[in-house]
Amino acid sequence: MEVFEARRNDVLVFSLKGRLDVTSSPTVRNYLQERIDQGERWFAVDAAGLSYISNSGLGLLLQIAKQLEKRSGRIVLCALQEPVKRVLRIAGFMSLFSTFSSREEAIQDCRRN
Amino acid sequence: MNVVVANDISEVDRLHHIISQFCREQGLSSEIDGDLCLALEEILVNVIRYGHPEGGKHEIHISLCLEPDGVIATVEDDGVPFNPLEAPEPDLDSPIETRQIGGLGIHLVRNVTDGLEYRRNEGRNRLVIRKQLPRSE
Repeated sequence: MEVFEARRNDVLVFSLKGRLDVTSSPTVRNYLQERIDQGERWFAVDAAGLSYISNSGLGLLLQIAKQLEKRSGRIVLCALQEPVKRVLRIAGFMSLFSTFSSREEAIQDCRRN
Repeated sequence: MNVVVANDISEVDRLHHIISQFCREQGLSSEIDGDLCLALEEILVNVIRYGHPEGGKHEIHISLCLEPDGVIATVEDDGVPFNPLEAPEPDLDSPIETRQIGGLGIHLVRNVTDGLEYRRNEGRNRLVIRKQLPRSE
C-alpha cells in the first residue's frame, strides 16, 4: 500500500494505491493520525488506486472520521472503485461519508459542512 | 488447493496471494477473487485474534475447491468454539460519533458469499464457505 499526499489550501489529499487490509491498515492509520496530531482537519481520500478494502480498512476510515469530527474537521472520499464502493455499501458507510466521482469535487466540498 | 497458515496476522498477505493464484489458474474473475480474499481475511483475522486466548503457535487449515457451480472454501482451526452464524448483526445506521468501530467482519463475510456452514467437532471449528459463480464463469 502506498500513500501519496498533496495539499490544496487547507485540504490534505491522500491518494491510496493498493489494498487496505489487516496488514496495511495500521501503517495508513499511523500516517493519517500523524497529520491529525499536527492539527490538520480537512482530509480528502482519493481512492482511484484502491482495489480492496476489508474490515480493518473500514475501521481505520471510521476512526479517522470520528477524530476529525471532534475537531470540527471532515474526511471525504473520491474516485471509489466499484469493489471498494460495494464493501462500503454493505458496511453502511455510504451514509457516513460524502463520496465524489472526482478529486476536484471532493476538494471543493471538503470544507463545506 | 490446500494451505496451512500460522496464527499470525502477516499470514493474511500470503493467503491473499494464494487465493489470487488459485483464481487465475481456475480462470475466475477479479470479483470472485476479491470476495474470497475478503471472506477469508475476516475469518482468518477472527481466528488469529480471538481463537487462542492462551497464546502459542497454532495451525489453521484452509482449502479452496472449484465445483461446477461455485467455489467451496473451508477453514479449520483448533481455537475456542466460534460459530459465525450466531454473530449478531452490526449497527449500520448510527451517525459517525456513535458508530462502533469494528465488528463488521462476519457481516461482510455473509454479504459477499452465498452460504456458510459451521461445525464444531473434536475440539475443532470447521467453517465451509460457498461462493457461487455467475452463470457465465
